[in-house]
Amino acid sequence: MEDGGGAQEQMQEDGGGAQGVVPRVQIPSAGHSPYPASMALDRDAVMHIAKLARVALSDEEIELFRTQLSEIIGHFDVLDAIDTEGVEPTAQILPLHNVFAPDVARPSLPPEEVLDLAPLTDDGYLRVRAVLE
Amino acid sequence: MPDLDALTIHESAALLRRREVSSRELAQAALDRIAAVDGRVRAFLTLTAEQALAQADAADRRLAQDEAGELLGVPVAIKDVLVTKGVRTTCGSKMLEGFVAPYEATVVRRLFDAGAVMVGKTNMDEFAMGSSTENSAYFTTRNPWDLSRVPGGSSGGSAAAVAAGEATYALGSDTGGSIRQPAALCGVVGMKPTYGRVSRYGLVAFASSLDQVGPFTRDVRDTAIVLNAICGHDPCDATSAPGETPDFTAQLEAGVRGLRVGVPKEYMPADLHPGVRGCVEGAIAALEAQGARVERDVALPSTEAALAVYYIIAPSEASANLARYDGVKYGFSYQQGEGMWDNMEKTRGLGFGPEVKRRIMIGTYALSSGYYDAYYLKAQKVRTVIRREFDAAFEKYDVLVAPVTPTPAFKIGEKTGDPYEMYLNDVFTLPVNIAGLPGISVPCGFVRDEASGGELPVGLQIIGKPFDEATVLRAARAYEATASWAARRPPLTAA
Repeated sequence: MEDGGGAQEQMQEDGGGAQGVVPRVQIPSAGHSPYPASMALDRDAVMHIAKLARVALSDEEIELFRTQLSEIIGHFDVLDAIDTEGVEPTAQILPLHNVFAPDVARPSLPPEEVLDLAPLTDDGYLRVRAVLE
Repeated sequence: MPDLDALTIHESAALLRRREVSSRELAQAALDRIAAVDGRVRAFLTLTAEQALAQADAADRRLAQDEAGELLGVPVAIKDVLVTKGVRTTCGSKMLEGFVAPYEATVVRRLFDAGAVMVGKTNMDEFAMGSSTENSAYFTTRNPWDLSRVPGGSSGGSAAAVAAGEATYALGSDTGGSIRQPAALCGVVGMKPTYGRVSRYGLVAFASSLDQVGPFTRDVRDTAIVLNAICGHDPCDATSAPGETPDFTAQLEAGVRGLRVGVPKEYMPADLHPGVRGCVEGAIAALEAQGARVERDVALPSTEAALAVYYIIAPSEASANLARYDGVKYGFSYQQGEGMWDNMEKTRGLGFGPEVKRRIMIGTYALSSGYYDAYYLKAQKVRTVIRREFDAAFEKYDVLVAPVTPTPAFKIGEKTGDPYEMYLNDVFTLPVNIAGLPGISVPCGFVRDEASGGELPVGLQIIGKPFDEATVLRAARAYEATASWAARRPPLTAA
């Protein structure tokens, strides 16, 4: 369970098309604003988000999440009322920057123990189905 | 012989030191209590009886060598979000049903080094996302004070275990209130230390800029004792704060005379549950009677926005952190799909429960192209605004006091149909995570449930400056010393 510092390192998603597998789906928006004040998600938008997140959803889940996510996202509008002109974002609260480990070799977890956790391995490697078929 | 499953850590340590009880007897008492009541409370996902007795015997050998230590030989329960070498760590998820970590979380290792005796791993909302344990993929833990009600969450198993006498103390994790809220609903002490105070190495990540490990105990002194053991810099966690850890027990009895206490008005809204308000007001009056200088109507105007900030930042970080569950490296793996992507999507679709999927979806949306600035970046900026409001308040006050939750424990099933209603449970606790502050929940009374005739605990929240846990603990102890809530036990009889 390494901990990569979460969202600070997450790049913006630019759609599932980056993998060359999933056709890009536009999230429909009401009007021209990229983020209308109260956004009701439709089925396509939910399926697009699920594709970006790599989560298979059943038809019932798509419908359930469509209504629930629309409601939750609707509550985010409260942020519009807060003036953040010139305010720096906070990623985390500690005054720490670029924490480096000493450049000293040390033992890792035994590879065989780590590979034992994997569903499929092959000659010391993790095995997956072909990425490009 | 005292009632072994009602002892505090410091009482246990005194008995062990005087050889009036052995660690094995304490461990056996905890295991017996679990056998008697956990069929109804259901606090534990995994019991480690054999390991506990072996650890207890080892502790008894250390005690026989006159080794001293407050935690040496005392039973503990560990939330199943902390990895334990050789003992499965499920995180309350089917995704990690058979997962046995090849290493120990730093906090667990620190407790084991101090001689702790682990009786088991406790139930939780899946990946710590929830406020009731109803999102556990396995079962719902019940509130020991009323088995038809939730214990709170996400660390509901840990809170219930301590309240029910199944362990002397427990560890939990708190991302938006997941220690303080269940502590309040179960009538025990629970503390979230300052972000960075406790190592997150081996804490299964939910929202890395908010997550923090902390204790559940039967009194405030015990919380200080556990903090002494688990706090401190860890090179394995890059966000672990460098610097010395004070002895948190040192100032515990120093009282609150002259302490500047602020009561934020946004935390005492008109629609606050009247029973909760009454208990919190009573606690504020008790602090005042002890010499604290209480000022009301402190303004933290962005409190309402904190809920939105939290439900953007936490799911965003979660969507990144939970990307690791891909069915390739460990955990549940769907293999019968049409190809790699299909396998991965079905692994995640079948392995995660509804709330985890919901949060991954919210986070993915908030981070996606076209929405990142509007949601994620905006939330991070408002996070700065919220921090500044706390900073300004702490120029005038040493601590802030507030309710922990808007209501006492609610019924199982009451809020599962409406995720947003469930999120509102954390409205008084999550701003503290957003600002990275230390916060404690200490029992401050009971509300009578007219329907059942039973009583439900209420928690007082005390919030402090960053790295000033000592003052929070001192205020909590000063209040606790005026009250007798810690002596009350839930009406659970052995079956």
